[in-house]
Amino acid sequence: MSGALLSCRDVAVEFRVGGKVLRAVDGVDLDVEPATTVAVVGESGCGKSTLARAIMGLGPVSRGSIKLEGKELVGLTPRQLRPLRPAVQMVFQNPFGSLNPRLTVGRIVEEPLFVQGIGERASRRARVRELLEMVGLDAGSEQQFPHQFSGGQRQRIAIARALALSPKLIVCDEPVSALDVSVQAQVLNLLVRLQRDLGIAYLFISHDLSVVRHLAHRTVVMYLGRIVARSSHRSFWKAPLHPYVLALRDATPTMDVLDDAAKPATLVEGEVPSALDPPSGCRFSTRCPYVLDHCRAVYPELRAVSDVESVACHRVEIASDGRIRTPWGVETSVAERSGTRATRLEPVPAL
Amino acid sequence: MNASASPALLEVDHLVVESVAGAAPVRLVDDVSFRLDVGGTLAIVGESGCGKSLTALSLLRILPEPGVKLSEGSIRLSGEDLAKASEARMCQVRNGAISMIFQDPIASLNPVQTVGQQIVEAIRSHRDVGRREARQQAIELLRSVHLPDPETRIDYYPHRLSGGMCQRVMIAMALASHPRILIADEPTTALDTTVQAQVMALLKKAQRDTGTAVVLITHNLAVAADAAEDVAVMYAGRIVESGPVRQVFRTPMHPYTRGLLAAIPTGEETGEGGEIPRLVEIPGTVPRPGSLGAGCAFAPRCPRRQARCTEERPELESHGEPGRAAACFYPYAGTLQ
Repeated sequence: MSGALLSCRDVAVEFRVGGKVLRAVDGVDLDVEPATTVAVVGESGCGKSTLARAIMGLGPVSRGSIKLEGKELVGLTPRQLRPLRPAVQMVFQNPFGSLNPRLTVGRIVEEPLFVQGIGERASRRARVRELLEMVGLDAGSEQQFPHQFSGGQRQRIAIARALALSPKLIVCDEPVSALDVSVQAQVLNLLVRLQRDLGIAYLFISHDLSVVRHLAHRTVVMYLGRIVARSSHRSFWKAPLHPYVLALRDATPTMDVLDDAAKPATLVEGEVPSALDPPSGCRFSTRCPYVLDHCRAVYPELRAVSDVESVACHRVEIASDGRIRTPWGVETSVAERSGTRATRLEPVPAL
Repeated sequence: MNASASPALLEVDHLVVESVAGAAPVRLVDDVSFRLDVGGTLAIVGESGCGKSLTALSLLRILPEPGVKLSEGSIRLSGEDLAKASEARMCQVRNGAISMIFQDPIASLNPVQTVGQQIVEAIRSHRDVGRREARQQAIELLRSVHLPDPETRIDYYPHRLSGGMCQRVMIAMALASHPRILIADEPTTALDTTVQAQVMALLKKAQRDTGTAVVLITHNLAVAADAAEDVAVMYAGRIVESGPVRQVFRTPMHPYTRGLLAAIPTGEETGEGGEIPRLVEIPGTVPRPGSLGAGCAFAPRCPRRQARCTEERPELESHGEPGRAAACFYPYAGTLQ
């Protein structure tokens, strides 16, 4: 596929746990185009963070291919990976754990430049000041230590560090979930502004639907190691096709409850099964209200619904004339679900 | 808050909690007053460090003493002042008239006792029943909180249960004494989205079935909007706005409440093919305790700040409709957006 900055094909990550095989990520295809945000959404154990670590080369990959601008990353040694690392950087969830408390902020942000052997001391310092200004931190904060900053400011430091090597892609693993609401908006605005100004792509790992709806050009929902649905269209959350996407949306508390017309959500039963012993067939079949025997026997592959959307559910009916019927009987159509949110985004080819 | 004629189940007046670890005492909860009626639900919302959890802990007098202490105010449970009650009396109240569930359900359970032993202990500490009878009641309680297969799981140690199941066990234990008040401190924050919704639904059902009143501590405004009748918004140790939850969230008066609500991304305003819009920010950060000046704690971040705000502290006073109050000299009027 052309145009993709990052391209994952059939990626699997397996761990051996007490003689059993735990498939944390099980055959994931994912593309990230330049200057776009792809959100990966799911509950704990769905494999979203494991996938992020695999892309960063921080974890093992058991199968499949991860290509960055066409270069294969899987199987490279750390030494071979190093020259490729500037293109992909990461921002972690916990801004208290991801900054070395014994280094000054200036030194933390300078570290990637130092490791990559870029510039001289003076030019690196100038770059650090430029970066800190870019993320909205005061001049002079480079002499200070992380503990002198609040959570939101620390996340700005982490973002400045990620920007130091002018990456094309930043993997953000729950970057705002440790932050308070009032500070969360500041950091989200910063991420959006940096994307607009610098053309950075984000792989945005999150469990927070309201955040994802705000900034994602494309959304991928994972459940027990597999992608169950993906879409670039805004109808994704408004009119979900997959029962799990519907369940996730309805379980998310929103201010819509203040609406007098708001109807009580239908909740799915049970919890995510253990990844050590996943259900046969569809992984969601143990909790799905629309399950059939066929669902328990055969895993539903991702099917293209439109040029921008795919879904892995046997019970979504797609007629040849473009009419779509959800498992719960809602009618929609391919035409209603085409076209993408961002003008700059090319249509996602069906896989 | 409400000056209604009926006596309140719980009436908290001018509560002050101080940190006495440093040289000078620092007020972490500053002059907090609220009331809770029989069967009612009050949500206390705010960001980290606003004092909402300390307020909850002081109701049960389980503050992390000696570093933090309840230094002023009264907590009247049906007229009895718990702030002055003896430790022996508080032991009866805890998990008796007032129960509490916590944010981290796995850490809140004893890891070396089975779930059943812990619930049986909770039952037998309040009722004179035999072991066998208490165990039967424990199974029924676990069934009522929808723990699957309670006859087997009652003999499990907590590590064998998921976070969601542990929170169900905590709720079962908390309900064992038929409490008049259940304090829930961020009960769903540590849980997965689909399980969060199940636990909130369970809490609401338990409240309907038993008539217990609930104090819900949360940072999530949508959770508060969904579950509570009344809300108190805290900032830097003080209640800055209070009232019926729908009114407060639809027509917020305090600039902080308004800012919090506006900062939540809705995803709705994004036009097709358009740029991602800027979210409304509250500039700056939450002040550290002890760094507050004479004026309103929110003044440095407030878009409506006037000279008076930095010199004088606004008290929580009634504004607008009955039951509503805000601590602001220049409150907003009208609906949000």
